[in-house]
Amino acid sequence: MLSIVEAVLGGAVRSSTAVLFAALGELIAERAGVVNLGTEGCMLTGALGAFAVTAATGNPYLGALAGGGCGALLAAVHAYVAVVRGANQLATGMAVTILGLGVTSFWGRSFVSTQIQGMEPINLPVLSSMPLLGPILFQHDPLTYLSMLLAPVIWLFLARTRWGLALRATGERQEVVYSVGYSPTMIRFAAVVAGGFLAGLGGAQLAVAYTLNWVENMTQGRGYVAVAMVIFASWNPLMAVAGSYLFGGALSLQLALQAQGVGVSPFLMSAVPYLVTLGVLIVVGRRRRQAMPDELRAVFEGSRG
Amino acid sequence: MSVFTVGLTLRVKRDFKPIAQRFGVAAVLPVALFALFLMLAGVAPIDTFAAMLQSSVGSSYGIGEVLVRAAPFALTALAAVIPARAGLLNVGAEGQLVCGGLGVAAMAFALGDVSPAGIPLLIVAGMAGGAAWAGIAGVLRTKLQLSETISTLLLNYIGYLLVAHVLQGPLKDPASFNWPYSAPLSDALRFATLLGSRVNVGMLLAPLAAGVLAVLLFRTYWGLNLRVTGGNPQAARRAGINVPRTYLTVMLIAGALAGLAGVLQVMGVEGRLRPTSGVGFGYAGFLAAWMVGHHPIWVLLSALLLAAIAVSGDALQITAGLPASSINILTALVLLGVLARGRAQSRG
Amino acid sequence: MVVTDSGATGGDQGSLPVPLLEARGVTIRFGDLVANQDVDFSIYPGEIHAILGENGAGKSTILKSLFGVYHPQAGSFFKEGHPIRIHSPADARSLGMGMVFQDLRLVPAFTVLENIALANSRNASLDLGRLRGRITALAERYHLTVDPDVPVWQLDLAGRQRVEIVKVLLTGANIILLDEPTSVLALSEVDAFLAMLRRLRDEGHAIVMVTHKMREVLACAGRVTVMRAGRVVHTTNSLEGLNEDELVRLMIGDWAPTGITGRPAVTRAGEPVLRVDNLSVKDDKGRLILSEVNLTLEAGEIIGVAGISGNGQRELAEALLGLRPLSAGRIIAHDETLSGAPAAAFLNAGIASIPQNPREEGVVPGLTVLEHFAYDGLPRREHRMQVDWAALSADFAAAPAVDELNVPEPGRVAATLSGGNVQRMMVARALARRPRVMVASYPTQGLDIATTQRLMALLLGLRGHGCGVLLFSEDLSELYQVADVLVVVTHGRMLGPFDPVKIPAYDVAGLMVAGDGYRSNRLGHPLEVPA
Repeated sequence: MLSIVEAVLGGAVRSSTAVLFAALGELIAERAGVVNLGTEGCMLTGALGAFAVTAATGNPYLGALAGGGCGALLAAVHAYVAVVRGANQLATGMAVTILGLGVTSFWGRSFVSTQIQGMEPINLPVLSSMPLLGPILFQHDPLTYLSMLLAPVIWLFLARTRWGLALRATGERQEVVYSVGYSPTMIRFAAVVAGGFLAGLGGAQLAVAYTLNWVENMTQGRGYVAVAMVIFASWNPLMAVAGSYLFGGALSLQLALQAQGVGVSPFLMSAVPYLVTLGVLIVVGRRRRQAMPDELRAVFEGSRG
Repeated sequence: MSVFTVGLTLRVKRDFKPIAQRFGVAAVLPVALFALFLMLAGVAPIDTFAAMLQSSVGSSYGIGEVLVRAAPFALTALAAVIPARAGLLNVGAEGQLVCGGLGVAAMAFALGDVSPAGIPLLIVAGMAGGAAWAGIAGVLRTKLQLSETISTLLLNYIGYLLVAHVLQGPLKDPASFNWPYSAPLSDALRFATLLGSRVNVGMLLAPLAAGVLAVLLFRTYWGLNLRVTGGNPQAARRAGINVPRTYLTVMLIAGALAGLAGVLQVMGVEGRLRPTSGVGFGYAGFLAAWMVGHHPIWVLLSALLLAAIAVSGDALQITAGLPASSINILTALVLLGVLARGRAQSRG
Repeated sequence: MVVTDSGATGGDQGSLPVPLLEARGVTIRFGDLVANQDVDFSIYPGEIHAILGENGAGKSTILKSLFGVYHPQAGSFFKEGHPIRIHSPADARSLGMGMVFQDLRLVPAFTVLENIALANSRNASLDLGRLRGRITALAERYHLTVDPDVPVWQLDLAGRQRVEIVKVLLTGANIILLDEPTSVLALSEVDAFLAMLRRLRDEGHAIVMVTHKMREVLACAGRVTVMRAGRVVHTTNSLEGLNEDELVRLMIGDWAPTGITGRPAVTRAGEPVLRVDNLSVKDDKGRLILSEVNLTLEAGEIIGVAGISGNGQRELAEALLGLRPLSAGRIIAHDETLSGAPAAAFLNAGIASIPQNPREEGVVPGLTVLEHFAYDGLPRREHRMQVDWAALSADFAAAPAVDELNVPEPGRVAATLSGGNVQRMMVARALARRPRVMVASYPTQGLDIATTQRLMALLLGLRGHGCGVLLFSEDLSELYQVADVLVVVTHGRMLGPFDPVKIPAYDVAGLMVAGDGYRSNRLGHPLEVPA
C-alpha cells in the first residue's frame, strides 16, 4: 500500500514539473500585466529544442538550456505583437501557440523516432532515503529539483528586489511605474521573454527527462493548464506549486487507479483541477480575485482593446 | 442565399477598405516568410504553393473540403463576434462546440431510431447544449462579476473532459469496441450531402446565421442597444438599457452558435460524436473574428481563408512530405500579421 | 478690479531675499484654451505660499508646469536668480522639488512600504527593514499616522496622501508642491495637516499649496496668490488686512448679481414634479457623501444647485436618474415612488439628463450622431422590426434644439466631435425626450459664450413649458441668471433653499467653500433667506 502511495505521489511530482515551470513563467508575465496564451507553444518549442540539441550533442543539460532559449524566442514574438504593437493579448497568444505547433511539427518530423539519452534521476544524499518523503520528493531528475527551488526564488525576486517590485507595479499601474522612471514596455517585454524561457524549460523536462521522446503536440494542452494554474494560485508562486502538484496528482492517481482496475473515470479526475480552479474563483470570489494584477483585469474584463 | 446578400449590403462599403488593407498587408509578408521556411526545409516553395492552391481551391473536391471546414469556423467566429460587440470576450467556443455535439448525441440517444422529423430536435438540442455551457459563464459574469474570459477558458477543458467521459460511459457505442465514440446517427438524421462529398445542407446554416445576425446587429434596436452596451456600458445604463441582461443574452446566443457548429460537425461531417470532434475550431473562430474586427459578415471571409489554409495543409504532406500541421505556421503568420497591424480597429 | 499690492515679478520684494524658485510670464495653452496667461509666481525658503482660486482658474496648471509636467509656450523659470529649464518631473526632482498630485500616484495593491520603495530604491535588493525605519522616524517627527505594512487600497484618500507626503520628504525635497491637499481630508483632519505644514515650514521647507478654501489660507499661509481665469489677479506678501470676505471677492471677481436680467417672470404651475425625501447617497468608495437631502422641484421651476464639484453632485444626479442606489430616503416623481426601480423607469417617468462627463458617459465609439439620438433621445421608430432611419432622420431634423444648438450633421461619428459639439449633441438629445424633469450637470462646460446663452434660453424655455429643471453648476453667474431657487451642496449636506434675489453671490460662494460654518463667521448678516 505504501509503495502505491509513494508511486502515485512521486509520479505526481515528476509529471507536474513541466506544468510548474510553465506556470511559474506565466506567473512572471502575468504579474507584469501580460497574459501569454502562447505558453503552450513555448512549451512545445522548448520540448523540441531540448530534444534536438540533446540528440545532437548527447548532453541533456545543454538540451534543457536550448529548450529554454527556444521558449524565450517564441515568447519574444508574443511580446513584440502584444506588448510593443499593442495587439490583443489573448488573440496574439493563441496565434503564437499555433505558430509553435506549426514550427515544431515542421522541424520535428525528423526526430519522431530518434532515441536519446535523457537526464537520469538523481537520488539526493540522505534526503532520498527518508521514509515516504524520500521517494516522493527526492528521487527525481535535476530539472524537477530546479522547479522546486525556483518557486521560492521567484517569490523572493518579486517581493524583495527592486526589479521584482517594478515588475509587479507594471502589472498594477503602468503609469505609476512610468512616473517613477522605468519603462513599462521594457519590463513587460522582459517578463514575457523570461516566462517563455521557463515554459521552454518545462517543455524540455517533458522531452529529455520524462518521456524521452518527441511526439508532435506532445504537451497536449499543459501550457493552457499552466495559465489556469496561475489563476488558481492567485498569482502567488508558492501556490502555483500546490496547484501544479494537484494537477499532477490527479493525473498520476488516475493512472494508478486504472492500473488497479478501479472504475473512476480518468476524465472526471482530470477535470478536477479545472473544477477546483473555477470553484475557488466562485466561492472565494472577489477577495481572491483582488489578487489579480489590475492591468490584467483590463485584459480579462476590459473591452476589446 | 438571399439573406446573405442582404447582409452583404449592410455597412460593407464603410468597412471594406480597412479590411481589404488588413488582408492585403497581412497576406504578403506571411507568405514570404513561409516560403523561407519551406526553402529551409529543402522544399521548392513555388511548387508547394501551387500544390496547396490546387488542393484547396483548385478542384471541386478541394473547394468542398474548404467549405466543410469554413462553415463551423464561421459559426464559432460568430460566437465570438456577438459577445465582443456587447463588450465581452468569449474564448469558450471550444467547450460550447463540444457541448453542442454532446447535446446532439444525447438527444439522438434519447430519441432512438426516428424519422427525419427528429432533425430539428437534434439541432435544437445541440444549440441548447452550447447555450447552456456558455450560460454558465454568462451567469458567473452577471451575478458574480467573474470574468467571462477566465471562466470560458476553464470551461473549455471541463467541456472536453465531460464529453470524453460521457463517450466512455453512457453514450459509448457498444459496437465501437474500445473506441470512445457515440453511436452513429442513422442516415435519416444526418444532413443531406451533395453528390457523395462531405458538403451538406447544414452548412447553409453558417451564412444564414451570419446574415440574420448582421441584420439584428445593424438594423434593429436590439442590435443598436447591444452595440451601445459594448461601446460604452455607462451610456447604456443612462439610456435605460439592462446591461446584465444584455450580457447574459449574448452569451446564450454565442453558445447556441458554437453549439450549432457542433451540430454541423456531428450531423453533417462525422455522423457521430468523437472526443476529437471539432477540437480547435473554437479557437480558429475566435481568431477569425479578430481578423475582421468582429464583423458578422466578414467572418465568412476570414473563416474561408483559415479553412483554405488548413485544408491546403494536406498538400504539404502529400507533395512535400511535410507534416500537415506545419501549415499552422502560415496560419499563425497571417494571424500575427493582422493582429500586429490591426490595432486601431473601429468599434461599435 | 485687479488688486496688486506689490509687483509680482519678485525683484522688488524689498525685505525679501532672492526667491528660491521663480516663474515669470508663464503662458500655457491647451488648444484654444488658455490655462495660464502671463503668470508670475515665486517661492521663498521657509514659507507657505497659497495659490487660491476657483476651479478652472489655472492653479494646478502653474503648479504642474513648475514640476515639469506641462511645458509653457512662453515664460521662464529661475532658481535662486539663475535661469533654469524644467523639462520633466525628473528635472524638477533634481532641483529639489517634490509634488503631491491631486490624483495620487500610488499602486493600490502594494503596501505603503512597497510604494515608497518603488519610488526611492537605488539598489538591486530592497532593504525594506531600513526603509521601514526611515518611514517610521519621519512619520513620528511630523505626527503623520503612516503604517508601512498596510496595503494602500485599505487607506482612505487622506491616508494615501500621507504616504505621498512621506514619499516626497524621503526624497529630500525642500520645495514641496501640494495640489489641493485638503480636498481629500475630513474637516477634523485639516487642522493637524496644517500644523504639519507649519512644522515643515519652520524647518526651512518651501511649500506651495493650491486650494480654494480661504480658511486654510488664513490659517497657515504667509503669502497668497489669487488666480482667476488663468491670470494672477492678486499677489500679496502679507495677509494682514485680508479676511474671508476680501478673499472671496478676489476669487470670484467683483461683480454683483443685482439685476438677474432677462429672466422671464415666474410662471409656476406649482405642481411638484420631483420630490426627494431625506435622501442619502454613498460615493464609489462606499462613503456617505450626501445625507438628509430634501428637495421639491415644481413644474416650471429651475433649482440651481451650487457647490464645488466633488461634493456629492455627481452622486445625487445619479441617484435621481436611478443609476445609483440610495442609502436612505425616497425619490418620487409625480405620485410614483421611483427609488429602487431600474433606470428605465426613471426615463419613462420623464426624467432626462445632461451628464457631467459627456464623452465618458454618453459617447459610444463608432456610432454616428443620429445613432446616438436613436438609442437615447428620440422615440422608437420601427419599420418591419427594423430601425426606421428615414423616420428618425426626419425626427432628428425636427427635434427641438437641434437647430438652435447647431448640433453637427447626423452622419458624423460622434467620437470624432470636439468637446463643445459633443455637449451640444448631449443637450439636444436630452431635450428631444421632451422631459418633465431635467437633471442638468454642468451643461455649459465646453460651450462658447454664445452657445451658453442659447442653452440658458433653452432651459428657460423648458421651464416655460412646465418642466422642472435641476441645474448643477459651479458658475454663480450662470445660476443667478436662470435659477428660481438656489441650494448649496457642501460638506455632506444640502443647504437652502435660498432666494437668489435676496442672497448675495459672495455669501453663496462662502457657503460653497466654507460650508455651514460660514454662517457663524458672518455675524450680523441675515443669511437665512426663505425662498
